[in-house]
Amino acid sequence: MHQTANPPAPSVAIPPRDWRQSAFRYLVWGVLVAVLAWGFGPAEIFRAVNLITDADNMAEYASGFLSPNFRDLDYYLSEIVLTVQIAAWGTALAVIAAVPFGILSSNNIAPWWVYQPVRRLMDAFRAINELVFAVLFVVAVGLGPFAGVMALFIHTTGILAKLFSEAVEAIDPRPVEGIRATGASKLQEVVYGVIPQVLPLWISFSLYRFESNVRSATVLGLVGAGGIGQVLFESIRGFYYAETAALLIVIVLTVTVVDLISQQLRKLVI
Amino acid sequence: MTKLSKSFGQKKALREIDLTVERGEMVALIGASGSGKSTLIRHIAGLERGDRSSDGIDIFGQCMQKAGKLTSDARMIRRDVGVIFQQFNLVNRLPLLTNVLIGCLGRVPGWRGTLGFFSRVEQLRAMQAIDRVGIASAARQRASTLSGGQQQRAAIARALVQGAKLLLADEPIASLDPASAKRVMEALSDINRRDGITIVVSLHQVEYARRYCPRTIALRDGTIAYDGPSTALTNDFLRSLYGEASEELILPDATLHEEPALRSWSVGRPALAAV
Repeated sequence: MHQTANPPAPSVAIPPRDWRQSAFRYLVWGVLVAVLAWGFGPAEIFRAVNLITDADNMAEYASGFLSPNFRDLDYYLSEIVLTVQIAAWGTALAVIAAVPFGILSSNNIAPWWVYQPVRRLMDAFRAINELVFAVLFVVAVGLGPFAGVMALFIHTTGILAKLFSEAVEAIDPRPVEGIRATGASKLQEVVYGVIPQVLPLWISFSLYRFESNVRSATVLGLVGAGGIGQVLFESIRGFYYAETAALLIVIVLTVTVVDLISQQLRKLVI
Repeated sequence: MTKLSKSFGQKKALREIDLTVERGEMVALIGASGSGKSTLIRHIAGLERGDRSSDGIDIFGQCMQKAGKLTSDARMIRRDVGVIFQQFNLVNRLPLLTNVLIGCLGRVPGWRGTLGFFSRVEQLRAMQAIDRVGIASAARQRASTLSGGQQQRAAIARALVQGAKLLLADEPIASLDPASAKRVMEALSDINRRDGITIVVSLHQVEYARRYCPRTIALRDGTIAYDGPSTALTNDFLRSLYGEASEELILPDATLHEEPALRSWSVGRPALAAV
């Protein structure tokens, strides 16, 4: 809107800010700055100058990537397929396990003495990184893809159980009541009243975790849990820049393709 | 003999209500918002528990809840009690047929019901119920695609499949347009007359009570204010009963209440025509 010149002298004053609000704002910023300053030394941020002083090294290193070497492409492709297979199995097992765990950790289905312990167990599954689980399973079941599958399985179960239970807690309780009123059992209330309501969300969450697991699976090989990570790790260790570049390209393309496909699938179910 | 006798010491919702409904009756439950209609129905259905001081609720001679606790038979008794809700309470994403088949769950063996293996006979029975309420053509559609009136009739079909002997309807027509409301009320009154199913229906508007139910129970502030023939419920009587609050109980169009409490039921099978 067009403002006419010389607005009349204001008859209202701008109210002063509440001092508690301002104090709180300064406190939040102060804490943030303090935390970062505290970590400055330990995190070796002062070495950022090396990015400039060692720029020549970096350039030489980067130039190695400019000519990717696809001589072993067949091998890379079979490894990336294996990586996707690990992710698929890890996710599938996790989905199966997350259904009961997710329902048992929903506060509108299970009593507190069930959902509290189940939730804490799921917290533990989530808190430990896939890579750590992979190391543990390499010790337990030996080197190879199966350790990777198990690592993804456990970690993803923790995540999906939480997501699933959040969906269950948001359902409309009325259809469930309608089913209860017919004399159905508790299990039947879940099968007919809860699952149909949450299924689209569950499928969407599962597909999203499959995408994430493909990404995670590309590094599982670093600790000997199978997949393309193992090849990647060896070529980085051996300073084979051209091969490393080729591997990274294969990984990026695969992850992109998987993301695109699963996004389209998710759109279908929602 | 249907016997629902219950007393509540509950502060507000229901105060020491004693009530008996005979087998085969069709009873209307009227009252202003917050007078305790829904609470009463939810207690009879065993979806809520009464106060510790309550006596109990007996349905067909079996105890549903006593002193604020559901008995171990509650699930068994629920099979005989169909409930119809204001918001239909169907599972939107499931087809109509499956929604109606859910009515069988209390009767088929647990594992079969849980896995969804319904026999041909059961499916046929469900289809008959759907056909009877006049929505057979929509059997494979998702419940969410049906209109409000169709959904409510689907809920009635579910109660029919359930083989309920007592049907509790909690404001079944409150969220429907007048034409759908009429069709739903006719479906209820049809199964009351032809199948001898006892029906307790809570209504917001007294016109429907006068028209479809021989007996009316009026609730006010959680107590029974009137219990007797619906014909005796004139608008003047309602006004003296509810004062200002009576406004919301009486439909503005006065043509309805001129009619006798029950029409002569000469209407045959097609009482429920398809939409």
